[in-house]
Amino acid sequence: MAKNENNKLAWFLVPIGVAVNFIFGTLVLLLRLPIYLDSCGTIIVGALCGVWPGVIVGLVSNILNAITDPGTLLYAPLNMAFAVLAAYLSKKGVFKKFVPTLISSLGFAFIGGVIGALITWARYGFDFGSGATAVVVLPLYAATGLPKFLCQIIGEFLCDLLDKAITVVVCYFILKAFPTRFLSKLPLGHIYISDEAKALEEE
Amino acid sequence: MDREFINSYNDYVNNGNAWFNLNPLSKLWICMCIGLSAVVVRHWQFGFSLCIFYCIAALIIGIFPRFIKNYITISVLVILLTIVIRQFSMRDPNFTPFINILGWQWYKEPFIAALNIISYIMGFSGALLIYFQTTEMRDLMLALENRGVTHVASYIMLSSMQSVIDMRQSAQTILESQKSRGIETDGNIIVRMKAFFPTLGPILLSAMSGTEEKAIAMDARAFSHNGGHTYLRVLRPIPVWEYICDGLALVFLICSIVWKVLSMTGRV
Repeated sequence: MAKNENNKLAWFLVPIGVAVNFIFGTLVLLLRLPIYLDSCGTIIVGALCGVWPGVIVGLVSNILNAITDPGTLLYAPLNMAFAVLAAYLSKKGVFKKFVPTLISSLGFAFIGGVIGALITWARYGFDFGSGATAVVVLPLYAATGLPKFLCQIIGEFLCDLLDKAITVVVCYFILKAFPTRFLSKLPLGHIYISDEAKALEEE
Repeated sequence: MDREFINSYNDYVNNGNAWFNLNPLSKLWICMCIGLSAVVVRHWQFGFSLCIFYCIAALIIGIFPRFIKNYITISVLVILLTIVIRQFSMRDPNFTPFINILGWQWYKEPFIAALNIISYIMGFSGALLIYFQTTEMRDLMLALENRGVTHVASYIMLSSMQSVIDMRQSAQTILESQKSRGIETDGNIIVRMKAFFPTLGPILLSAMSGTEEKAIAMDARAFSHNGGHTYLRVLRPIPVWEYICDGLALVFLICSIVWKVLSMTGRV
C-alpha cells in the first residue's frame, strides 16, 4: 500500500486514540481503580502512527477535557511529549518486548514528573500545586526539608510512575493484539508484525 | 414544515441570542482577552470580581444553572486545597496571625497568596467555560475552516467528540455483559483489576475494525479531494460591531497589563 494511504489511515485512528484516552479514564473511575490510564490512546497512536498523529491525539484529548475543566489545557504539552517519546521508542523496537516496555515507564514518568511539575509550579504561583500529588509532596517537604521545586518534581514522578508502568503494560498487550492485516497499513505497524507473519507473507 | 426544514439549511446559523450568534473566533478572542487579564493581574479582588461578572453574564445569556454547576465542580477542590496547602508551604516568623481553627493557627500572607492564585485560575477558567458552553464545536471548526484550516482538522475534532460518546456507550455495554457472564466488578482492587483487562480488548478491537471501513466510506464521499467543500451550516458574515467588541476586549487586556506593570513598579 502506498505511503500516502498509510498516513490517511493513521489520521483516521486519531479520533479512536482520543476516545481511548477518555474511555480508559472512565473505566478506571467506574471500577474505582487508583490510576488514570488517560494517556494509553496517545502512546498507542504514537507507537503505531508516528509523532504527529500521536501529538494530535494528545492535544485534542486535552482540548476536549478543557470543555469541562479549562485548567487541563495547560497540561497538553505533557500528552504531546508522551506521543513523541512513544514514537521514538517504537522505532527503536522497545514496545516489542515486555521488560524494555516496563523500563520505558521511567521515561514517561520522567516527562510526567518534570514537565508536569514545571507546569504545576508555574500555574500555582511558583509554589506547590493543589492536585492529588500534594498528598506525597507536602509530607516529603516536611520530612526532608528539600527545596520545594525538587519536592514537587519527586512527588509528581513517584505518583506518575505506577500509573505509567500500568499504562505501558496495557499498551504492550494491546499492540500485541493488533491483527497483522491492520498493522501492515499503519506507518510504524511493520515493527509489530511477527517474524512468522513476515515469513508467511514472503512465501 | 418541509419549507421550514429546507430553509434551516439556507439561513445563517442562528443559536438564539446575540452572544450565542457571535462568530466563534470573535467570541474566543473576547473570552481569551478577559481570561488572560485575570492571569496578568493576579489579584484576588480583580479575579473574584471577574467571577461575579461571569455569573451575571451566564444569567443574562441563559446558561446559569449549567455554568454554575460546572464552575463549582472545578473550583471547590482548587479553593480548599490551595488555601490549606499554602498554610503549610509558606512559612515565615514575620507572618501576621489571621485566625485560629481548633488550635491550628492560620496566617494572613499565605491566605492572601492562596486567594490570588485561586482568583486567577477561576478568572481564566470561567471565561473558557462560558465560551465552551455557548459555542458548538462544529461552528468553531467551521469558522476555522473559513480561515483556511484544513478540513481534516475539523474531521479529527468532531469525530473525536462522537467517538468518545460512542465508545463510552460501548464500554458500558461490554462492562454489563462481562458482569452478566459472571465477572466480578466489585470487591477488592485485585478483583476490580481482573475485571478491567477483559473489558479493554473488545472495546479497542471493535473501534479499530471500524476505522478502516470509515476511511473507505469517507474516501467514497470525496474526503481526500483537495477542491472546495460544501457545508450544511453557514456562519453569518462578521458585522462591524463585532470587530469593535474584539477591539474593546484587546483594550481591556492591554489596560490590565499596564496596571500590572504600574503596580509592580509601585506607581499605583
